[in-house]
Amino acid sequence: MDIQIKVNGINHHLQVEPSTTLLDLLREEMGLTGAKDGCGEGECGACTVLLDGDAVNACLILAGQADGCEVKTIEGLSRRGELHPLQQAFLETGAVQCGYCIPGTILSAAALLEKNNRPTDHEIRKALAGNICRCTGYTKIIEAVRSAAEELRNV
Amino acid sequence: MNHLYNPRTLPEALSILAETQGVVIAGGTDLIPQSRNRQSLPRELVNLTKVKELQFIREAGSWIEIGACTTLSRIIDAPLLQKKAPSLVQACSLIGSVQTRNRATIGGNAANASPAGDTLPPLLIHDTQVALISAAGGERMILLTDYLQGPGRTNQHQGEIIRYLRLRKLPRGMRSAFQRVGNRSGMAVSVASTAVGLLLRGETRDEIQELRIALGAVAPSAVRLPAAERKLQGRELTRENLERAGALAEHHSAPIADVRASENYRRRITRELVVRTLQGLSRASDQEED
Amino acid sequence: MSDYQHITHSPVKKDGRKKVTGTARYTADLPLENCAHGAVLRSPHHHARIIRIDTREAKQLPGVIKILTAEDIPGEPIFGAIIPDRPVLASKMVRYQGEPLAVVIAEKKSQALAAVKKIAVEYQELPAVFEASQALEEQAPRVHPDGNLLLEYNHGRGDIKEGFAASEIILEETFQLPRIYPGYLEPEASAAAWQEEDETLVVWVSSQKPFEDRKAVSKVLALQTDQVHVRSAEIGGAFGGKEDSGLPILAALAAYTVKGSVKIINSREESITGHPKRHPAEVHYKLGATRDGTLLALKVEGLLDTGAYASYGPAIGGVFTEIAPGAYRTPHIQVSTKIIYTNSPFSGAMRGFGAPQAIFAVENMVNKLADALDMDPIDLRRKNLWRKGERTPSGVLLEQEPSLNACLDEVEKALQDLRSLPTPEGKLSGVGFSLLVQAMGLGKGLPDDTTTRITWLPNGEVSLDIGTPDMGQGTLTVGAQIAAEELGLPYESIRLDQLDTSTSPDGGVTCASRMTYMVGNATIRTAEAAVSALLDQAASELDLPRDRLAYQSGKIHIEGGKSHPISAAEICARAAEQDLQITGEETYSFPYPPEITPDDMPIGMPHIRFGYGAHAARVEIDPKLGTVQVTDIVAIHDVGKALNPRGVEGQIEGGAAMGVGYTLLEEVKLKSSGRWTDNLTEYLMPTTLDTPRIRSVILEHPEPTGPYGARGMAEMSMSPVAPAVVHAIADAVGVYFNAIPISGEMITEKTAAAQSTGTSWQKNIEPFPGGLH
Repeated sequence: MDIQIKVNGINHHLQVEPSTTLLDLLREEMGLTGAKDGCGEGECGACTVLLDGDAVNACLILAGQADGCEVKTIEGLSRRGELHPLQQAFLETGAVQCGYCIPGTILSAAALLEKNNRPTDHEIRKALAGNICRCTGYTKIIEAVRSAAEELRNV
Repeated sequence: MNHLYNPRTLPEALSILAETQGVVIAGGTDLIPQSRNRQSLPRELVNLTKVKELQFIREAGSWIEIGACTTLSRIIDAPLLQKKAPSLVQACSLIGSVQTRNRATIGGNAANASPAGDTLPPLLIHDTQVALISAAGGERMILLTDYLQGPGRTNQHQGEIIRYLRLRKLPRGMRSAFQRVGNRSGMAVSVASTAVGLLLRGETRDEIQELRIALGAVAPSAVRLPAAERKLQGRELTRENLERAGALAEHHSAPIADVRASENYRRRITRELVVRTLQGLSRASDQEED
Repeated sequence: MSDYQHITHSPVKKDGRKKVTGTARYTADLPLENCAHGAVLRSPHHHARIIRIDTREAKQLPGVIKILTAEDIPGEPIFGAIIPDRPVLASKMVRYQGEPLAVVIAEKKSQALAAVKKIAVEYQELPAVFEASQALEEQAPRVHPDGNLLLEYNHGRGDIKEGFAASEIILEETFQLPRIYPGYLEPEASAAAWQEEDETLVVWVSSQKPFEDRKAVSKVLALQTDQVHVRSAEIGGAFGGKEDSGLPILAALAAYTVKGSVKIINSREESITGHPKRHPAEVHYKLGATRDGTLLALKVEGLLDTGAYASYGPAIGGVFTEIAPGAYRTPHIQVSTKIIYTNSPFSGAMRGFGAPQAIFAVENMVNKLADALDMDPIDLRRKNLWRKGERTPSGVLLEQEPSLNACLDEVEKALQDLRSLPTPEGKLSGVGFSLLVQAMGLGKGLPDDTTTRITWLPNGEVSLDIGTPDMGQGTLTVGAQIAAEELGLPYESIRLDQLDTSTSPDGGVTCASRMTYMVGNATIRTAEAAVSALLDQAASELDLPRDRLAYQSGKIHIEGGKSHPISAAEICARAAEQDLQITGEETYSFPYPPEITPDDMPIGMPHIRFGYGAHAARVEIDPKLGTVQVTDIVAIHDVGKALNPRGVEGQIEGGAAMGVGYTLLEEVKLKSSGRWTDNLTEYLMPTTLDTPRIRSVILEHPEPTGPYGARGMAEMSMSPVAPAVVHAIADAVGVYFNAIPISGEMITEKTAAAQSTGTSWQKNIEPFPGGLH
């Protein structure tokens, strides 16, 4: 089927198989492999992208359902090589280990900070509860989001 | 699977459903995981997420109507529901993750008819009706209690979709709340859940004028407990009577044992959840609310 | 703050930027041209004879290129990490649900999956056994022809009878530990490409042991080792579970057979059932002591369920045997450990490698003994700790004073802090702790070597090759910090490449908490060799005697001359023009000095370099619902020297969170449907909302043989969590749990019974503060 989709600011007109998920489309057709396949059932959050600004699991959305929508992936978060404050904070706090959950986690955090730039630790934990990380125990991830929120408030 | 329809209007959606073997998909948060890597998706799917007519939250006299494709996140953020249906808002905010709540729809949660569907107990205490519509049969309205037929089974006919859910506003002064237990704090399926509505009367507000109790995950479908509710109507608001409500809830639950919990545990915590939710509501009741 | 420029700091990880921008390439992300996709047919049965595999119908499906069965294997059809007992593809017998029988290679993944369903297999189902204790019974179904007892360790010292005879108190308990899944976020994936021009096979892996994978692949394919080039892609977590050559072999076999490129990516379901998990264990402890709390005798019987295949089971049994007595100087000890085959999915390496099971049991025993003797569990421990100059239960002479007392000092402070936290209404709170001893390295008698290489680049920077994959924990970064420190170069000037077995030195397996120690020690030596090579080159280039040259921070100084120092870059550039490589390469071998290492143990034992630590935990419990929230963990670890403090904290925090999952949530179990837990809806790992506040207390009592005094610690942060939380739960509700994971249901069952009799080890705390209204 034909779809129109805006990915990281660029409009695309594409032909997709009906059973293709948004995740497959991004990874296999568009080469945007930042979103990861971790479980295929919306339980790990590694495939999180922003769909019209909302954090969603790309593995649970058929590409055809995203027709007419705007998608942002981790590849679209930094601007002209300049890291987003969240990306910078994740680096500086040491919140990245294996990195597989990181693109999804950063996008969930970005959606949170878009709505609430002064989140409490509990609000951060709630916003990231759908992004499983097995390496970090979340401690530094939460610290990174807190510090990026502060950075964003100051700009 | 070989076709996905993307209707933009309700009539378009209905005619596709009438003319094809299409199965409805909305948020996909239940359907896609159930399809085992999409190996067992239906041949034709009709996506309803583009149908704007199915996304609304509105007041209609003594009712609140929620379009079937309204996402759980929209419900959580809706001031009207925060005020008039707090138990529904509480339930929605405990379902899945942010990612799930941004896609999952209230119509989908009803149509999936999981015994553990967390929106169902709150909907039940609102005497919710399900507005179904099809091209051939037009619109019909049935009670949610009649709509739910067992695990994954509903009273929805071929070609029909849920248009909206119609919640009766709670009686003036009735407070409501939802509580649940899952096996994990984040992203868990309920092991037991309850939605309770409590209306008190009397000068010291120590008499139960009306009580509503609905349970999730402890019967083939989410259930209202009219018999238990009646037994406590007109009773004094005492610790003993709250315990009695819990005992009645336990008595009326018919849980199964599965990988998540045993029958006994489900019963035991159902009782505790009901008592606790009532306790919370009775304590809150000295702060007047519209 | 420190005299070091690079180590003891926490620079941005070398692999950080690509990971936060989404450009890091994990195996599934690799763009390979004309790449076919593989899908694996796996057994639906736990135990069955294979009568016939019929691929005729499946072969006819669109896109199918080839279907592989055991008949297509050119070389060894059996492999195994320690014991070759595992068929690459089952052809006669399946021994667990999830065992591979065939691989479909198709143009698209969906086509391969569709064809897998059309392979018709005729099975003759056989009775199966799932519990280690049952598998030892006479009439139990035999998983392998030689019986279900794979291996047994019996280790003792002193006279156990005498020890118990002299004991004034004897406790006996049985503990049950679950089968858990490592739960790395990246399911296993492997890709392989046959290169016709030089007849080599490139295999990309998400693996902790590319050099071992190379050996395994070349044996199965009957190729020369140097025909197989194993490359490490980015690894999305491993925790021991990616010490398994199963999938790399299948991808390699597929690519080799079709003489093309094939990628196989596991689903989460395949990952859970078909790859290593922690050994479930049934452990019986009998502990004798005098009334004043002096430990006298310990008898341990451990049954470890290795599932259908051995994997690392034999070595894990060894570690269990060594760690079973804990860090206590019990004079009379007897440990018997059995590694047992069952028809369960196989167990293998996972963070702790036999130690978490042992630490759980021994720490619980000591806490219970303290209760029974009405002693403070800290005092009880202090009486019995390992001491300098004595030998451990496995016979290792302790040359340094173990930092166990220092760990307990920190526990005391932590417990005080945690006890002062307010308990919410309706909840019960409790605090508890556990001590920890765990070893690093592979054990005596096994080749335990790491080679690293430093090559000078034409611009005066260096490329560092540590020969081992970084699975996310940060070895590359620490290696770069050490190279920068030793060479006096900026951290940014240390370049790192992904591992390729055809060019990289062999750094050994990424495991056993050995990387900082081994890579560190090797790299210090390698840096010295690289400097020496640079000076040799400079001497010949400048035509000066070598002994007049000295290297410092990227510059070569000429003694006695008036000339300015020459930059290393200049020498490197001139060498590059002549196609000369200036390189240093050194190997570090894990030292097992005979004066401290006993030689009467089986191969791989003992381990002689220990890490010490302790965790204090606080829980809040809703007694009627049974829900347990671990609110806080204070994790105390003696790491010798924190070469990258944030990296160390990251290991501690991650291990602590994983420990919470082990204690409260996780288990791969056989469901009533006859299927194993195989998805993340049922296999629950801790989310942000389940993970406590974690505070790391890092102690630095140097390890004399470690780089700058550092020792390994990555596995150690998980083991103390479960016994500490169990202790805290006992403090809150008066009941000890001998089995984990502890569900809400278990809490409600036990608490009702315990309300009247509950004892709390913290005597100054009411067992039920407040209670419910």
